[in-house]
Amino acid sequence: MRWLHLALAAFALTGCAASPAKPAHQAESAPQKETPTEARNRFYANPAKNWSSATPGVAVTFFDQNDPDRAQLMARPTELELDKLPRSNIPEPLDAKDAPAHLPASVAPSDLKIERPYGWSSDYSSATLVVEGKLVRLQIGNVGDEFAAGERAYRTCGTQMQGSALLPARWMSLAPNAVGKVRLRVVDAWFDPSSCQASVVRTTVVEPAPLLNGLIYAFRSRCKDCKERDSLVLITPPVSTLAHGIVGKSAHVSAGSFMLARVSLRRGAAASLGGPVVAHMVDQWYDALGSYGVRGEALIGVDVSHTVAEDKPLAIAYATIIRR
Amino acid sequence: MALVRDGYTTLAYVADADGDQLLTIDVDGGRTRAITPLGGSPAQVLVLADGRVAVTLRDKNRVAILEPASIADDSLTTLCSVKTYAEPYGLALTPDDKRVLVTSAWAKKLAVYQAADMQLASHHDLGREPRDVLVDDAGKRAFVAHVVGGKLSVVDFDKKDDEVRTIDLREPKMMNFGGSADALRGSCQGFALAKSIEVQDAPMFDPEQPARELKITPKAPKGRVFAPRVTVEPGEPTQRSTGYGNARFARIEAPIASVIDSAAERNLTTALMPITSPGGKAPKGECLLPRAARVSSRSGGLLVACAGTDAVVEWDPRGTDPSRLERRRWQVPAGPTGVAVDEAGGRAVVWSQFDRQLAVIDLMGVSQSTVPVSAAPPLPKGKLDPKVAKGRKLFHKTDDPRISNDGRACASCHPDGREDALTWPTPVGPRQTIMLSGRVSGSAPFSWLGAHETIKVHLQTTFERLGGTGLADQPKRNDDELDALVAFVQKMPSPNLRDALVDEDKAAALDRGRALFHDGEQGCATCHVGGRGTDSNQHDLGTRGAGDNDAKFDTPSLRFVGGTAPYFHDGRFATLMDVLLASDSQMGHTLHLSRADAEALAAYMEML
Repeated sequence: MRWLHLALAAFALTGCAASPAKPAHQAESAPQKETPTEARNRFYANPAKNWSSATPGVAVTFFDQNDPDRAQLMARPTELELDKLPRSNIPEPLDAKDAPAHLPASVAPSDLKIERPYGWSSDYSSATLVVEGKLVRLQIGNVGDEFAAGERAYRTCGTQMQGSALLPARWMSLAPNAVGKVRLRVVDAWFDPSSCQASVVRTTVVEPAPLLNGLIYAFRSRCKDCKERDSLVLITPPVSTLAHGIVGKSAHVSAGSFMLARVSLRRGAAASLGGPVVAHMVDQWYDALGSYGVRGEALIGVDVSHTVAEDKPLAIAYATIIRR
Repeated sequence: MALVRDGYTTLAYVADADGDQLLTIDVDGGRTRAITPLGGSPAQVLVLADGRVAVTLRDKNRVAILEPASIADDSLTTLCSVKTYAEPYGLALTPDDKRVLVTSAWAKKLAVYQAADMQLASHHDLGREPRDVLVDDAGKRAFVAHVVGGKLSVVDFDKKDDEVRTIDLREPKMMNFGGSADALRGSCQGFALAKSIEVQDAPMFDPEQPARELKITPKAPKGRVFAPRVTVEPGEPTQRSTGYGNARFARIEAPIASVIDSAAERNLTTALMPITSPGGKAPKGECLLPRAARVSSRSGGLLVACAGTDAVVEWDPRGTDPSRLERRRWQVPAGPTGVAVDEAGGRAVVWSQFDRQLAVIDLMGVSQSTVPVSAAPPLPKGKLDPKVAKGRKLFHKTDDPRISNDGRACASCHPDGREDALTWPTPVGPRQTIMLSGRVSGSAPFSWLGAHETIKVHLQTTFERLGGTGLADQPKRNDDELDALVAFVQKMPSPNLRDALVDEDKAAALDRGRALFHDGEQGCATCHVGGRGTDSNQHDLGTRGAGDNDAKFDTPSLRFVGGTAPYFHDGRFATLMDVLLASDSQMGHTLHLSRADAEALAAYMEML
């Protein structure tokens, strides 16, 4: 027993020796001070644990066993650190009135495919333009970005369309990149209806931040020359019934295989948007983007408001996952 | 209800509307310390800066000023009782403690009294059914909630003659992709108001470690007023419906809490989400009858008392519609009508009028159960018939499939037994909701067509139209619920228009108006017998409109007609003056009247 004590003492002596100085970046720092937003999020967190998931902003609830279409809805919103969101800007779409006379020479876009039906001839037919990817959107002509745009566009094109003006085109894809982040790629191009060819003008790539464990993505758009100088851009799965309300008439919502919304962060303005996302759409979303959140029917929402008396805009995001 | 400190004890002054008394309840000890008879039914209680207690006596048209005794076990002494406008309800004190604000629900007024001597300083005309009132932190503006109409009144004390403005709280009807916001939804149940509280270095609740208190200062939300209510979409009245309402794209009724930027006087709540649970039905346990609201700086939540579900819900005030953001809920005794927050104690105190019980909610804990601390002493025999009390609970029960299939209660369309000021599509045409309180007894047959001989038949038809399975009619059983509901509908309290303060110009016109009403040349009293009665017949007055099946309508009672705008079965007239001026030769004769006489006639009808 005595030997054992000595051995333990030796071990203890070794452990009590002064540690070598740690490199600066490894030094134990004081606990990080909470930002006001983090503090508020902790303050407002839902203390009812049974409604909470591990993800801030996400509450989990269940359909009533006796009435499988009804659930008691709970929420635990998380406040967004607007200052910490990535900043980027998606330029306004090309304007048809700026279209050049001839299609500029450029490398054919690799992600835009033209599917020609059997028997297609260059003098007349209708082609299907397809953007490759799981979460993609495409719009050709009348690019206002206001309403739904699908991942496929049917265009009449061919020599019969000789002399037709070039059309603005925009396609977007949302996909995980090599390092596991999500990348929104926005391509603006001119489309020639007579040759069924497109010429890329610019490509914008944005890496939005995940919210609610990847159920929503967001970035902040600050732009001196834009109509809205400071706005929050949100990317969400498509909701089956969109509800949105805007104070200040300065929001933009468009949807296809994903929803893209831009809301103003001005003092005095407010906006809210969201709605239900069906369970299989939640699955598709997570599968396509490689994220692993709680699955089920989801009610998602984002509220942004900035009263005249408040110093900064207040933005919250929330999702209620309803499970059977 | 109001809370005061008495040494180390927290006392609740409770307005016991059924007992016509003010209860002094020891919140910590859980017992009633004193009962102060009031001689009328109290609505709200306010403690003034000098310790006096103001109480609105709803059925007596008075504000009582009481003084507490030196010990809490003694009744309060009535110092004075001030006459005010019909049906005083809400009370507020300006931050400088100098003015007491009183809303009068029936008279559509905000009266301002000097707190020192309760002299009337000013009065302001408002929209229909004003209830809760609060004052902004600067004391320059008062915000007033309205049960119907979807508006918030703002009385600006800084402007000449205290300008009254309104903020429209209603939402666009349809807001889906490409939807146009060319029409607005209706609104009801605007009883309560609360405002955001900016907290300075107060100990906060840390949900991760309930035992630990955080020292943080949630600076936001700031400068917000919260107005819990219900948004209503009846649908197009002229199109037929199988029941009451035919909205196709949205829920007919859904709770909403409007958030108002108080400095800008702008409504920030414009979206309805979620309007259904993903399964397509209304979520369970929604707060369709909000009756009181308070913000707690300790929990950060907006606490709302929900009469329909007998619950207090805590909503997150950071959202643009906090009603979508439920954090917690506590079941409380039946009929919660008052909530007060004891910030120091980290608890909320709730008064439930139907069960006459006080309960305490621990805002700092994780438990979602309430502690009933005190049941009020039993009422004297005969004060409230048990059958009527039972009927009142049924009348206010939401989520009861016997009443409706979408959560609506009787009180959803008949708040306080009155009406929602909306016109509904029905199987027989557009129908405006009829006021019930004080209008049922002696006014058979029922419905706009006079199609139902008894109130029971009328109620069962209403359940059917609402998709409810109906209440069993078992008159021989003591516990018959339909009987109880009928008893309540016949006995529910109605406004008392006697002994109320009336504006001088209206008072001067009453005699002339009475004479005109009963004069054969106008012919009003021919069908509206005695003014408040009815000839119980159906008449074709040429009022059949778009969507109407029938041309003959039952003569309605004119009791309380002044507070039930809009008018006619389809709500086609906004004011009594509109009715009088537009219905000549259809319904009596008014074309020959001067403007002054027509106004005198309208003034008299307002007092019926």
